[in-house]
Amino acid sequence: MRMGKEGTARWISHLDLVRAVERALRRARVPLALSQGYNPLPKLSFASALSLGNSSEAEYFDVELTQRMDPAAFHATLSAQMPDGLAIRETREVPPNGPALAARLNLASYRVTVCVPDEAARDALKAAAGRILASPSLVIPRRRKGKTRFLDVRPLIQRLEVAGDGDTVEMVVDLRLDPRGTVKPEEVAGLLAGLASLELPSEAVRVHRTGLYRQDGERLRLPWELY
Amino acid sequence: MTADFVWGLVWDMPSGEGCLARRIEGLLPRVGKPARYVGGEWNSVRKDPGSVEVLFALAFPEVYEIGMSHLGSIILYHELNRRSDVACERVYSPWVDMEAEMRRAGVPLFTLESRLPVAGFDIIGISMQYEMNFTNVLNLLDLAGLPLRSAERGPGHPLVLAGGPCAFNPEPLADFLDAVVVGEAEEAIHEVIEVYGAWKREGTGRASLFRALAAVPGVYVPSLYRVDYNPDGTVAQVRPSVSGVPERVVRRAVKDLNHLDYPTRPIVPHLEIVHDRAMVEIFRGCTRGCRFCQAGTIYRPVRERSPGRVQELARALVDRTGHQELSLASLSATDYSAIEDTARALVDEGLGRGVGISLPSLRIDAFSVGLARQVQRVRKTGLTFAPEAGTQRLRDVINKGVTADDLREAVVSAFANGWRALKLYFMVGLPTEDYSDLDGIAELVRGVERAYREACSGGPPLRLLVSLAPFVPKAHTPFQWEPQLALEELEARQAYLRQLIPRRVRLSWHDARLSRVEATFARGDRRLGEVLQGAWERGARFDSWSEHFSYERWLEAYDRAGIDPAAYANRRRPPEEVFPWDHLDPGVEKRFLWREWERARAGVPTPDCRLARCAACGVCGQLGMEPVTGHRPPGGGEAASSASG
Repeated sequence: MRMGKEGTARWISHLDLVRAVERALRRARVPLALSQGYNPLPKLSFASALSLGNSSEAEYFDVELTQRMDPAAFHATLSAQMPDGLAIRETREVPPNGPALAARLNLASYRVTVCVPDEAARDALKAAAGRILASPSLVIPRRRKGKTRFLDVRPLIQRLEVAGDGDTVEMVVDLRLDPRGTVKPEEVAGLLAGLASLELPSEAVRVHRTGLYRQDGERLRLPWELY
Repeated sequence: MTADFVWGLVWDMPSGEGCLARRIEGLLPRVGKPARYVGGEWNSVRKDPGSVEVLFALAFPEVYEIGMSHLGSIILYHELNRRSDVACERVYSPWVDMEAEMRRAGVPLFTLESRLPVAGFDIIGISMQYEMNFTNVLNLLDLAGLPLRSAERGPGHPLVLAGGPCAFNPEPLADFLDAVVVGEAEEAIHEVIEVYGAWKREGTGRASLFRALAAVPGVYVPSLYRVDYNPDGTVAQVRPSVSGVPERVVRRAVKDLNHLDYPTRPIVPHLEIVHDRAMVEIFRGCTRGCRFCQAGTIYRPVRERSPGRVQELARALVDRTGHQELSLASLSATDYSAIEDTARALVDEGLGRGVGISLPSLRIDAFSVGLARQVQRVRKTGLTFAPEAGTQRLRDVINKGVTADDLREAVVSAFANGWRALKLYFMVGLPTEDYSDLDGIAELVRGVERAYREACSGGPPLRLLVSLAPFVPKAHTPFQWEPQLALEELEARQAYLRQLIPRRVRLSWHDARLSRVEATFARGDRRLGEVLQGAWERGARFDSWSEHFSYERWLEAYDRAGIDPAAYANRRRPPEEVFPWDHLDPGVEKRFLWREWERARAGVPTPDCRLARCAACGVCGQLGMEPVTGHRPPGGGEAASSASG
């Protein structure tokens, strides 16, 4: 399934999003495969968590059924049970027992909209993007369980295009999903702002996920093209 | 650089939403759990506010996760929104971080559905569940931008209506509220709406609205009553200050739950709430007659929903919410006459779909444990039992019909059935309690540990939690004449129990200072409004959260208002004393409560009228009701729900 996350639903945390989908699936009364144990849950697997407040048109998840359903019928049945802002965009049938989505995807695309006070700030952000792309490495501190380690995020930033006019900056950002460490699009915006000596309040940055992919060299595949 | 410039942005806002909605969006990245403030949940009802006659803001003076768990609010939301002339929208207390952001940005209190300012609504309906939420009530009014006091509000201001258990003594809030629904509101609320609609069409002044509301049975308009005080400071009388207003406001109660509509499309929350499950109310009321318990008075008599209707509602709820758990809600689930068959039928139906059943409020006996084992799939959370007191003598005083044998059987059964965790609830400072009763608590705890060792020797250690709550005398109970123990003595008994109970047992103790403040408001009068406002002005809110409670702040507020808290909390009240709540009539007679207090002192239990003879509490006669149960009601009758026929 490919799902959108928009409007008020942007403020649902990932854990709560999973529960919202579980509940929609139960309401849809589709033949769900359930996990074993005291607390049987639908067999659901999500591709990649989104930060709170970000919107998306590319939230992918797998659902396992106990019997085959026509994808179009499944799509319609589940769509009727989805809350506001969580629309099912696409449904594809994939073979069972496929690989976990999260492990196979390695690239996420975002559109980041930044609201700036004036044109000078906009141009400073554009210049900062040029500096990031020109530098071979970009090491940032990461605090985890009280320990600080350093991560070079430059190799994770595969694409960074900055455009825009007036007081709005539109960025297209492609970020690599690496099990050793990732960088968030809002962090990239923060880095840009830091280089441009701009103070960006969190509500001035809007992040929208446009796609999730598997990239192998030149080859770019959508999640269901992996099966 | 300030954040203000971003408010001009128009992002993906649905059309028709004004500037306020955008300003709210700007606050959300700055606060914890923003999903508390966005609405749009499954089954939430959004109407065009311009298409209805009455805009009703249903306000709960606690955080979203608590307010969304409250069945009464779910029922009222449904009752109001099924009317085509009303749009009912929700509002909860913003958590302290959100409140700070709202005040900083000048964002007024808003409803979740349409994000409209609460001040623009016709009626604000406030749920009063607990005295320690009273400062949150004031805070909601203030955040809405309304004058706090009823007398200061005028044309163009919403009607401030309230209800809930604290409606049985709303006197500390009397100056702040316009009207109070006393008792069960699902029928009365429609009459309030009719009166309000007629008044709105007429276009007369606020005073005529108040008069019209006071004529609705069960509706109390505090400003139409005058309180006279005796020279010693006690209440001399509370009586109507104008003619045509009833001297006593008799509580509203629904005769038969089976004839009621029930919300089978409750809102499915966006974030995990306290009771995150579908709820079917299986019965209302409890006649076990525990003498400390206000719910045991104000919800009498017992009215069961028929098993057929329970199953029908359960099915609809599961279908329409997708919840994984269904709770059979009541004051005491295992007292439902058809509990075994009903629970089993629901379990049989639910298993294939992964839906579990939970039975909160278990009686302490082996039957309850056996039943819980059969129906509760998730057993990790542990069982909770409330013996309330440590000795049989004291349990007889409070009329808790539970023996040490019952408890032993229950825990033996629990351990045999695989439970490894247990919670025990006790009260400290009950009337007539002495240190031997505290020794009794420690003895019961040791007995539970011994039973566990016998049942599970070599197993994992027992996870035992003992909760000790200070006794708070409540209005409309047989203990309403009783003092609360002095704070120092409560704390001394706490310390005594701490050294008595083994360290491996987790002990949870409610803050005795908080219980003392609660005790003043539970039996308070109108003069406490001054204290309430003073504490709120000094920053009191979310007082039921220990991290926000400040006793010093409250002491200052009492002092500034010239109120002695001991006169409310720690004074034994003579039998002839007029109480500030005597004009609010739950249907149960005051002389029954006094008789129960006398029996308490004599250590004489009073049996449940479902199992023995009528205890003559007076409620059936006064309210024209009778118990609706599967047990044979006095005077015949066969199966469940026969009483109203």
